[in-house]
Order: sequence, then C-alpha cells, then structure tokens
Amino acid sequence: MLEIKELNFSYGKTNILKDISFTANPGEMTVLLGANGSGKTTLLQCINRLNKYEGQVMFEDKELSSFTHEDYRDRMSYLDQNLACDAVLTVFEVVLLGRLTRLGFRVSEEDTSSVENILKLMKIDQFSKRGISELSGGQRQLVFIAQALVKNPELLVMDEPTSALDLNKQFHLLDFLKDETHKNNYTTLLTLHHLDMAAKYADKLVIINDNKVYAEGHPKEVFTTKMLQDVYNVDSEVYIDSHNDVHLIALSSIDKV
Amino acid sequence: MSSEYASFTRRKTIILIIALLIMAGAFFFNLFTGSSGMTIGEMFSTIFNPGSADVKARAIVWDMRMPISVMGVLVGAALGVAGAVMQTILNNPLASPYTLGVSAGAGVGASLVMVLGGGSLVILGRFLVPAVAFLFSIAACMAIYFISKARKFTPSVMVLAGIGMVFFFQAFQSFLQYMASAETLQNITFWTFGSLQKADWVNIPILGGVFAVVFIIFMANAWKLTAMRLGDNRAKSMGVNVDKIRKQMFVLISILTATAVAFVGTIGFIGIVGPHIARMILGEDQRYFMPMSAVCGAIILSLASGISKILVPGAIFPIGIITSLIGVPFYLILLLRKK
Repeated sequence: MLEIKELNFSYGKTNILKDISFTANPGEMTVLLGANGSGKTTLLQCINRLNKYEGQVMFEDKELSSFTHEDYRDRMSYLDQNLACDAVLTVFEVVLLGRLTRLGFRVSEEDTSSVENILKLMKIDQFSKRGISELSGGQRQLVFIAQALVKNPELLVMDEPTSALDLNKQFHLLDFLKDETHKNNYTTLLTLHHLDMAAKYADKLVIINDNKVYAEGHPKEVFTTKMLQDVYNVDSEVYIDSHNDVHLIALSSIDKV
Repeated sequence: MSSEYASFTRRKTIILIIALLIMAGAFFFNLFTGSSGMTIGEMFSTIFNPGSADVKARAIVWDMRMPISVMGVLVGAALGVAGAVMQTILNNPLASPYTLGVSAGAGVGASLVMVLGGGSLVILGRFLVPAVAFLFSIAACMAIYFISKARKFTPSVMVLAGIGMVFFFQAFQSFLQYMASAETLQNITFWTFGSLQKADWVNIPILGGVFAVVFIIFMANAWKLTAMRLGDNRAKSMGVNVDKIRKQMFVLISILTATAVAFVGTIGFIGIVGPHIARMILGEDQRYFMPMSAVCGAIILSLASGISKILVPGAIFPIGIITSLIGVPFYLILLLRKK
C-alpha cells in the first residue's frame, strides 16, 4: 500500500502541494486528476524520490527515505511524461533497461524472456528490433510502458501513460493495465487527462485542486457537476449508464474569454 | 536466452572482433611505414627475433617505431573512449575532451614550460612539459567541475563551462605565443599540432596503466551509462544515481585525457569522430559502444600516423592535421550513408 501523509512541496516560496494525504491500495488502479498545473506531476516526482518533500510517503508501512536506493528502484517503476529520446538503442534494449537493478554484465535468460513476454503481452513485439528514435510518439510511449512493467514492480507510478495514444490504443492500454494491476496485485497510481477514461478505469480517484486533495473515492462518488465546476471550471452533466458506469458531458467553460 | 537477442549480441561481438583485427592491421601499417628502408620481412624478423637483428634495426623497430605505434593505439583508444563517455554523460554528441577545453588546458601548460625555458632543460625538460600539461589539463577539468557543481552538474552547464574554458585557455595560449621567441613559437606550434614522436617505454606504461584502470571502471558502469542515454529522470527512475555517476565519469575522463594529451599534444578530432563511427555501427549499448569507440579511435590515429610518414617521407608531419584530414571525409561518408 502507498500512503501519502500531509505531504508539502514548494518551489522556492511558491507552494505547489499542501497537506496532501491519500492512500493507493494494492490490486487497485488509483487515478490522480486535476487541472493543468495542479501539481500532479510534482506529486508523482515526490513519490519517485526526484523531489524533496515535507511530510511522509509510506510504501508497505515504511517511509521512502528508509529504503535503500537499490531496494526502492527494484520494487517501483515510474513512467515519465517526456517521450523524447534520441538514443541509438533498439526497442528490445530499451525495455531490457527496465530491469537495470537486476542486470548483470551478461544478460540472463530470465531477463531476455521477461522482455519478450512483456513485448508480446503489449503486442509490440514486432517493433523489438527497431530503433527507439524511429518510432512514433504513441509507439514510443508503449515501449516505455513495457519498460516500466518488465521488472514486475510492486508499485507502478505513471504520468500520463495515454497522452500520445489514439482512442483505440487508450482503451487497449487501460484494459491491459487494469488487468495487470488486479492480476499481479500492483499498487498502480497514474495521472490521466481524459475524465471519461478515468471514470471508466479508476478503482479510485484522487482529485487535486488548489494544491490540495479536493476529493478522494470511487468515480461514482467523486464525479459530480460541482467537482467539475470547482476543479475544471466547466458546466457539465454527469450520468450513470445501464452498465453502472459514470459518464460526463462537458457543456461549456464557465470562465469564457 | 532469446535466440534473436543472442544472435543480435553475437553479431555485435563479431563486428567488434573484426574492428580489433582492423586495429591490429592499422597498428602494423603504422609500424611498417617510415623512411628507414627496412623491408617488412626485416621488420618481422626484428620484432619476433630481436636477438638476431643488427643494432640499427633493433633501434629503429624497438626504440622508435614500436613506441610510436603502441602510443598511437593507446592515445587513439583513450581519446575515443573518453569522447564516448563524455558524450553519454553530457547527452551531447558534440561533447569531447577537446571541445570542453581539456586539451586546450594541456596546450597552455606545455607552452608555459617552453616559454619559461623549462622544455630545454636536459633531463627535467622531458618530464616537465607533459607534467605541467597534465596539471593544466586537470585544472581545466576542475574548473568545469566546480562551476558545474554550483549548478547541480546539469549537462548544459558542464558544456557551457567547458566552452568557457576553451576560450579562456585559447586566449592564454595566444598570449604565450605572442610572448615566445621564434624558436619557442615553433616548438609550441608543433606541440599543439600533436605528435607521437615523444613516445617511449617510460610514458607508454603510464598511459597504458591509466587506460586499463579507467576502461575497466567505464565497463563496470556500462548499463548505468546506457540508461543515462534515455534522459536523467528516466535513468534515476531506473535506479541510476545520475549525479554521482556523472561526477565520477567526468573525473575519470579528465585523468585519462589529461594523461594522453600530456604525452602527445592536442589531437582533437578523435574524441568526436571515434564515438560517432562506433555509434553508427554498433549503437549505444555501452558494453559494445565504449570498446568500439576506443578501437575506432585507435584505428584512426594509427592510420593517420602511418599516412603522415608516407606523405612527407623523412619529415615529421603533424599528426593532428592528418587525423582531421582523413577522419572527417570518412566520417562524412558514414554520415551520408546512414539510413
């Protein structure tokens, strides 16, 4: 379990995150939502130990700072939002690097079969010999997701994993991630921009607004017209369909120019 | 193991072995060329059976040609691998010890000794020029190190600090040349062009030892360096202590380059072109990329040294000019042929 307790983070004198507290459970997909600049990426970078924060981030009841660098990196995977890459490496090599903490100078059979499995599972094995810099943004994003998954992490943190994918690929990926999370008992925390996707796939939503946690819970509890007004400044309608899924229709911006 | 990945890495190993054979060929080409008039048979006989060779042949092969040829391989390999690691840690294909002022620092150190008359001292002069060149080269690295430290060792700051060092040392160098007598100026100019002529059995083990230690440490960090090519944040997330590795590698590159240029002068181009050729052929899995960069550097310098002896028989043609003259067209051909 990942537990964030009263986390604060500032850039100089500007507060970016104030008293953030929530939990993400194993076997669940927890989705962070919030408007642009609300601090979602900063929060994920705190969990990834890239930002120094005040407060506590507990994983498996231990504060992050008490993990050794190697142990934490062995147990968690982080997907960066940035997809730029000019390295002269094949897709196979890039995914293999996801097992860096376990790689010996000679690559073991376990390492190569893990890479092959994840490439097949994600249906990108046809790219395995291609150079990473030759791929489109969407293909590259799938490769980096495979890299995050190849070591079978206990904690999976992903910043906008669907940002470069077309609609069909987004459904495929989120179906796959949800399935892997349930099957392998991953504690999965990710940010998404598409609210419909978040409503469909999240086991739990955490909404960040004005640098704080605005709401936390199941999509049906959290998605309200008031939340969409407060957080995104949009008028909307929210309804639940016959499959008991939440949907929203954004109607217009409140703060029209 | 995956048969596809196994055959992929086997192919890389075979290419590396072929490159090593080409390097051996370039070494012998450098060894066999010269104005002594010895045949290849005589050369082989003197190499493998020195006891039966006459004194003159032994002196030509073992005291002149062999040190120059071994030094050519060592310096080329040192500059090639140093350039490769520099480009990797700074995420910049234009980075090399030469472009970051490490060689310029050595040039100033050597020039200073010559201007002050230290180079003409009978025994001391032989050691004084490389020793001060080494110290100035390390000083340039330390300046880059401490400037970058103030800005958390970001690659862009390191590159900019290095460019600053180039201009600073070039100005210092120009000042020394302005102050120098005509004879000293000639010596300084010759030194800055680079030459393998000062190679001997004293400086070869020094450079060889430094190269061996540094290369082993580079190879031990091969996976971490490969991960750094995916960007700092991604490498950190994969478990690489990026700042620590960048600092350690920079110090090692500095020591290796400073040792090499202190003995042979500024040979600039190899640190850029060696890694580029290696990257085009084998990619950036650093387990292959670093040795291939070293081998490419050694090939270019050995060929350049041999060609320089053919171009102007009997005279010592500055090798720094030849490395660029043969290296650049070869590099451009590879660049244009790249898919």
